[in-house]
Amino acid sequence: MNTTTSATTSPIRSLAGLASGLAAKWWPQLLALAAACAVVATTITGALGVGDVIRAGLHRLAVGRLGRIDAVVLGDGFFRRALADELAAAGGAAEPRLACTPAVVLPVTLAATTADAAVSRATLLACDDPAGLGFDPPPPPLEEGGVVVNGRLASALGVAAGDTVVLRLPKRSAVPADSPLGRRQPESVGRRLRVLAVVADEGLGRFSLRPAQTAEPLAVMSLTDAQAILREGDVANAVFVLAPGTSAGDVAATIRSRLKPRLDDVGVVLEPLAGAMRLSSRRLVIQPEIDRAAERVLGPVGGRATLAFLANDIVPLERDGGGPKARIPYSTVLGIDATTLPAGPLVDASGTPFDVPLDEEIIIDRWMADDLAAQGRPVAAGDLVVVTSFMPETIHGRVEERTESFRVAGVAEMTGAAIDRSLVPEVEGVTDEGSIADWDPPFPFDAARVRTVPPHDEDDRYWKQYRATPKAFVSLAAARRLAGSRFGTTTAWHAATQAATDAGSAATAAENAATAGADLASRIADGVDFERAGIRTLPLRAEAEAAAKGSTPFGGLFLALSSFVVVAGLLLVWLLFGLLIAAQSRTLGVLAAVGFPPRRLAAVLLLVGGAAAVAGAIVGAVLGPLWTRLLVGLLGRAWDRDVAAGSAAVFAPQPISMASAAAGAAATLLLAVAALAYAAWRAGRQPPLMLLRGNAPAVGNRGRGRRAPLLAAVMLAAAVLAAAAASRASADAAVGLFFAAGFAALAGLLGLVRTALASRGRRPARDLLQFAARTLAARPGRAFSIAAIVACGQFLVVAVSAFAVRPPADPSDRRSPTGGWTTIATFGEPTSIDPADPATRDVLGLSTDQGRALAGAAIALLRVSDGDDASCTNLNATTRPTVVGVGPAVIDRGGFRFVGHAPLDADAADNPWRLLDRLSWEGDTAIPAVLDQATAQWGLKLGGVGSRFTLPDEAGDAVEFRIVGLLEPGILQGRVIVSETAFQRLFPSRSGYGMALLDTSGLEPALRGSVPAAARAAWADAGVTLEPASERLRGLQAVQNTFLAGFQALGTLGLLLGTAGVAAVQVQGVVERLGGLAVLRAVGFTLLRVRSLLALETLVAVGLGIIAGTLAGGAAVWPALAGGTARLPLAWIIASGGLTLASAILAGWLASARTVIPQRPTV
Amino acid sequence: MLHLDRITKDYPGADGPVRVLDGVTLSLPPGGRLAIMGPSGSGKSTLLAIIGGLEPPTEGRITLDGVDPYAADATALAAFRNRRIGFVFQDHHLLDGCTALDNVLVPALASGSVPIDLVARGTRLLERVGLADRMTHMPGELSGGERQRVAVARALLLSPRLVLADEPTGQLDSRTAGDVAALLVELVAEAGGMLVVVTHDSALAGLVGEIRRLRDGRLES
Repeated sequence: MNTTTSATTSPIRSLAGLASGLAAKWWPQLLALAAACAVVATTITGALGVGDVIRAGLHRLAVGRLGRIDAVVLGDGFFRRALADELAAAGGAAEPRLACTPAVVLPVTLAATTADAAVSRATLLACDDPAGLGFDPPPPPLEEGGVVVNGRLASALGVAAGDTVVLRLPKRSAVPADSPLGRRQPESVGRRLRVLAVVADEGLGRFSLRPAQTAEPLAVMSLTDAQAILREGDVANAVFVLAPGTSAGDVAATIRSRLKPRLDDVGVVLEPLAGAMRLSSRRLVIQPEIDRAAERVLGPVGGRATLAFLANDIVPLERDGGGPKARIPYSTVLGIDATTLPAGPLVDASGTPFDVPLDEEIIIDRWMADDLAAQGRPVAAGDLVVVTSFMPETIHGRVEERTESFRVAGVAEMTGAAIDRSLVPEVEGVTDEGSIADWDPPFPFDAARVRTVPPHDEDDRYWKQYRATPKAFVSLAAARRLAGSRFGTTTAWHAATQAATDAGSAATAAENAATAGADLASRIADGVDFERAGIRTLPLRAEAEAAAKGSTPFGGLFLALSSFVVVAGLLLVWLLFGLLIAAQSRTLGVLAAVGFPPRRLAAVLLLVGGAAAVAGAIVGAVLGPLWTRLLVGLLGRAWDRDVAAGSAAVFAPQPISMASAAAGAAATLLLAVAALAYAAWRAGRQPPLMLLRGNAPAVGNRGRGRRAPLLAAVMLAAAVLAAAAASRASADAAVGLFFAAGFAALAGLLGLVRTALASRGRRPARDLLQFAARTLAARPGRAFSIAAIVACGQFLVVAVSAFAVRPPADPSDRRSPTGGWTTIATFGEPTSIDPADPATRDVLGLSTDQGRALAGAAIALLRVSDGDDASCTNLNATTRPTVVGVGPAVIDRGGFRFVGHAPLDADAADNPWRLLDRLSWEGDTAIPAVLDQATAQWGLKLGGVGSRFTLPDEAGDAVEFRIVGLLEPGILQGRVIVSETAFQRLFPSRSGYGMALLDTSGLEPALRGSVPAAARAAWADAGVTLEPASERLRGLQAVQNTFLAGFQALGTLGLLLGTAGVAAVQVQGVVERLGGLAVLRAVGFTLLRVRSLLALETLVAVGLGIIAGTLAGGAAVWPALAGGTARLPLAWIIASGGLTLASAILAGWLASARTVIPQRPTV
Repeated sequence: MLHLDRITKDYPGADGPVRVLDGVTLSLPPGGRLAIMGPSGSGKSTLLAIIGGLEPPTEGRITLDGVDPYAADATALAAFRNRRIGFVFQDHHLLDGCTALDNVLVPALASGSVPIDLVARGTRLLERVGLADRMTHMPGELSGGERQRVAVARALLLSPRLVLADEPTGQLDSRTAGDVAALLVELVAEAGGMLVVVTHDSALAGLVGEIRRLRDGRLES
């Protein structure tokens, strides 16, 4: 009470006191000013907060899904479990120890036993001590025969603790599936398991090796159980490393320096056989990295590389077209670079060793020579034989044969190397069979060719006596030409034991051989870069934290789009302050009249307005997090519903950083005070008499906008120039330039609006609308402010809404975003099964309808690398996008719509896909790649057509790509698409196809329904997941539409600000114009007509703003409109514009209704 | 014919109603001109507002050509003002942003668009008041006398039966005031309308013709 009394009775003795007194009197206007500032601060703080929340959400999930795992050692195949112990024990005494947990991580299929539910792309984590990986909450204990599943998997299967599930583990062929001897049909082994517990989708329940914002289906079991199912021995394919004392950046280097795999960890063995050492691989062909290391070690000690391959037929070339037919089926041919091998030399009948065959020569063994003679076609040196063999790599998934003629160099007697079984490594299903009749080879095998029935059982007898021992020998170079592949060019290295050891250093030959073998193996292993040989170290935590930075700078994006709202808010601040000055001009006039100098008068105003701005900024900093929560909540719900179920965790409420709130408040204060200071400075410069008469400078009225036409001309010219530049710029630059063009167009159009509003016209106003235009012209700045505020909001609404995407009208249209494909099949395990191949279909056990359905459907198999989804559905930042290799089924078919591509020549025949086949273009060896425009620009930030970028290949080496085409975003979004040939070059050890596209539009409707079941049956062992292309497209489009909804909310906020501005202007305008309005009533205007006039004034100002905003928004998205990737939502524009008009008129009406308009002027 | 019958006007006051007009009765024949003089606060402007349909009397009845404007609804009252009354205020009350011609034409906008013949009439009126070269000027570009001439032209646009002028020369210098007053009287006379002028200015009152004095709300004979 005393304070109040004192405040009201104490004389004002300072400028601040005067400002305080004025503020107390002017509080309603200042309240409105503070509210406008609060909106600006809320918008800025809220936009910054969106980025904070999403980053924090991604980081929380990234850390949560890894527990305390820092890195993983991951094998392409299985390695010894003991490798984990060796890694843990490695390192110097003073160095921090690594905690290492061996595990098996595989894609698996699980099925419920009680319901017809299966999940084909779940992750199996087999680990004896999951609790030791530091997940929070701690996982439940594991039991033998049991499995723990996460909520996502339990929900998909409809199982609970205590239920039984069937787990199917892939059984991978060691031999590459893309080679003739590799199994192209995945096999699997199954086991019934009891569900021990269902863990929530957090902590262990979110475990994933790759960044993902959703919990993937996960099953956890003990490593011991997994090993029992796999029957591969005491093995693992992953070692999780916890390195508490090592920085995240050093973990991978530390592991690599301490990790010492052995050759058998990558399926390579060096073993003593037949008195010699043989280096061979379970893959049949030795990987190039190991081959190089072996050459370095074994070459100097006399080691010899050999390459064995299968000759499907060896047929003597007929002389003069006559003579009986003769052939030797299914023989091993060995490529050699020496005829003296550890088992002995290849010798002719005289015992003379052969020279190494020339490139076109072949040495056949005595058995073959005798057999051909017995068939009536004896061959001798100089005769030609035709060797038919498989191409070393499958062609688009299919095995094909080739033939080559050789001249017989001689016949090797059945002694020495000619009878050495160890020359050829074992191949499961072939070399391990007791009879050739029992072969179960993965390649097309014509059993009828093989002679197994006595008396003509020559082939079976050879097999039983010599197994896969070569019947013919060619030069190593010739063999490599015929059978060398991306998988390797050597099947074995042979080194004489004696040559390889230091003679006399061992007591016995066996011990000598063993010691020598161990020494050689160790030396070879030391020379192997295991990162290139299939054992890779991934710094999971560092990768996760990098990915958690997000694919899109949401904070910056929202802030950029919020800038229009901020501008609108600042205009409102400016407008309100101007109205306040106008309303209080007589008070200011008194101050000026009693001697306040202009600067001091401005200071008073700035103090008063500044206080309101400070209050508003503080309120905005508090309200900003709520705005963030609202935006993020909307985004999260839409994302979870339309894009990826389970994503909501990313958008979960997070504490907003104080830095964002402070930045928002500070930015608002800076902007608002600058605007207020300028307005105050202008008011302070007015002559006292003008102020006393109530003639304060109206907002924006200075000079009645004389510069507006010039500004409009300049900005519109800039808009045209920017648009012209954009049409010639790269795609990414074009977006920025057209946005600049849109902004310039907005400024230019507003300049025209300002000019039009100030225009007096020469003809008399003859109707109410013209009359309203006249009255607006009295204070054009106010109307312009409203128009500008509305235009900002409308610009945002139009520019954003134009990018709303809709499903294609005709999904079967090949130029649509589905490419005309109807179904996407994704495989848990790469497969080489091609149901388009009639021979393959015959062995798949399909029903007649299923067979017909697959035969009639167009099917394209795509190779897929282990990478991240770079599409807009992945919120994480992607540094290693998935690479997809496409073959003729996609390239020749064409389809999808290119928004840009490199120049086409005659060979391309108007099909930009063919550009992918140009692996070398005018000396440019960068790999041609096609991406969708969204991924190129936003997801990976690569640029437009012609841009170059690098990605790591399989060995981790950077490979350069160049963009030859940009697709309209569609079902292949988020992937780097290259030709199949280029893919095989990039990922040589990767066999099989990761996904398939199916087009069933050509099928009769009755058969279309059979396709899903047929596809599931055909690819059952590959863990196939089928998704309608339209569904995939819907999910992708939902992302864009979800963000657009958020941005539209910003635009709507801008329009609301415009409405608030209208109300404020109307209140002030009515008060100021009471006399004039009273005259109107006096001369016969009804109150309704007076208010209609006011409404028309609003209509003109808001309408001009809407028109300017709409036109400028259209200009900003013109390239997208012209390119067909955006469409102006006329209905939405009309609706939003109409609602804005209606609400503005209503707001103005209600505001004017609060003031009584007299019927007679006061004077 | 204008007829006022025992017009009384009370305003609410702190100590009860304050009577501003007390039983004012007068008649003005067609073409008649009347100047009402009186000290400040005598109720002159209130009487003019009541006559002009701007403010209803507390008691009494007013008719113009037999029509009681206050017997109708607000819309009809507005139409009454528009069609039958022309106002000239002490402060010209021209509208900012509107040219001189626009301001003259404003009464025609009260019920619709401005027909071309009224544009012509407005133009002629401005020519008549000597502003032929000022038609497209804004109020701020006109002198005080010129603004009041525009107001006079505005009042006469629709050929009202009765022109009411409230201190029309109150803010003008004596020479300009005389010019404006003479013009007002002359134009109303030309139009054949009635004229009621409220003024302190005896010269103006004399120019109008019949003079009545209002004192303490009563009209003296």
